Amino acid sequence: MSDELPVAFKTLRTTRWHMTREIEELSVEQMLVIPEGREDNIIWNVGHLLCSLSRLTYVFSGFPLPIPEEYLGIYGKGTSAAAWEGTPDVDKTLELFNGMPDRIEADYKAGRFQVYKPLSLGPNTIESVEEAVAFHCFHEGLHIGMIITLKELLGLPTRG
Amino acid sequence: MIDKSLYKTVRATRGYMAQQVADLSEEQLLQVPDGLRNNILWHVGHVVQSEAGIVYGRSGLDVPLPNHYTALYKGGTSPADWTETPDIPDVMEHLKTQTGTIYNEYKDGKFEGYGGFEMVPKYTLDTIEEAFAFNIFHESIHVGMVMTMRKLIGAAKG
Repeated sequence: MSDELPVAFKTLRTTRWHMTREIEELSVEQMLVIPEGREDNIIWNVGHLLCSLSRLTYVFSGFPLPIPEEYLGIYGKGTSAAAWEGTPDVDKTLELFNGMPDRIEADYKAGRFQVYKPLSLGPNTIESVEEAVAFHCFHEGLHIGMIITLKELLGLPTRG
Repeated sequence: MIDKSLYKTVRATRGYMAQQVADLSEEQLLQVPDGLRNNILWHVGHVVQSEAGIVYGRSGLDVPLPNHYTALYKGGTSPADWTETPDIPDVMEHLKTQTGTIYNEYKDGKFEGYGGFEMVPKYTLDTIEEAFAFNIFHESIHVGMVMTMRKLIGAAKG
């Protein structure tokens, strides 16, 4: 049991505050546009982070994937919005994305993340759920950067 | 004390940025892609300037960078306002060495005077450790921009 959250969890909140600020006023159409010269759109970046965070926390701690399995085929590593055959449920993706930090914090406080299956990412190895959350802040920042660039390419105002 | 896992991510983030820019030519570093405001060099200078500004500045210490870094790279600045090309090897050197230097100084207690501040309404960086963690995320935003910019200038990296 832990009431005191590690630093990385607070950083996840700050990271998410920045992300929300960039996407909250966008329409579904704006999230689906793929700019010239790119293969992704804004919702792909969001869904991709949802998949990655879900796997890094729950799956590598021995729990089932806490989001629909089909999301991995839409947003998972190596997928591309340019290859989608249909349009994903944007609202549902956003709802799950927005709710995930609360869910993870609640499960962390309840002491559910005890074991972690180490995950090698190039030269870096993630060895605990705390480290997974710290890594996710980096990963989410990368995609916030990509979203800001996508918005600039679409002529949308950025908050950056 | 900063935990090992956090510092590992700090170092990995900086390594990622260094890796994204190491093989680019001066021309590629300076090119501003159509529709964007900055070039890749600006992002390199910005992560260096920003980290120093928070870590040293908020600890009441002199920022160990040339004074003109603020005018060149602070948030909101743009290469469109540069009057001459910045010293590229100098900024690349800071990119490479800054994280290690700061970590050693941190272990020696240099940042004990860190005062904390409200970065945006509601979000504060209360401790130096929180500032380090914030920097992971801030820096990676700029890595993400650089990754996209590489594609836009025809220099995509896997």
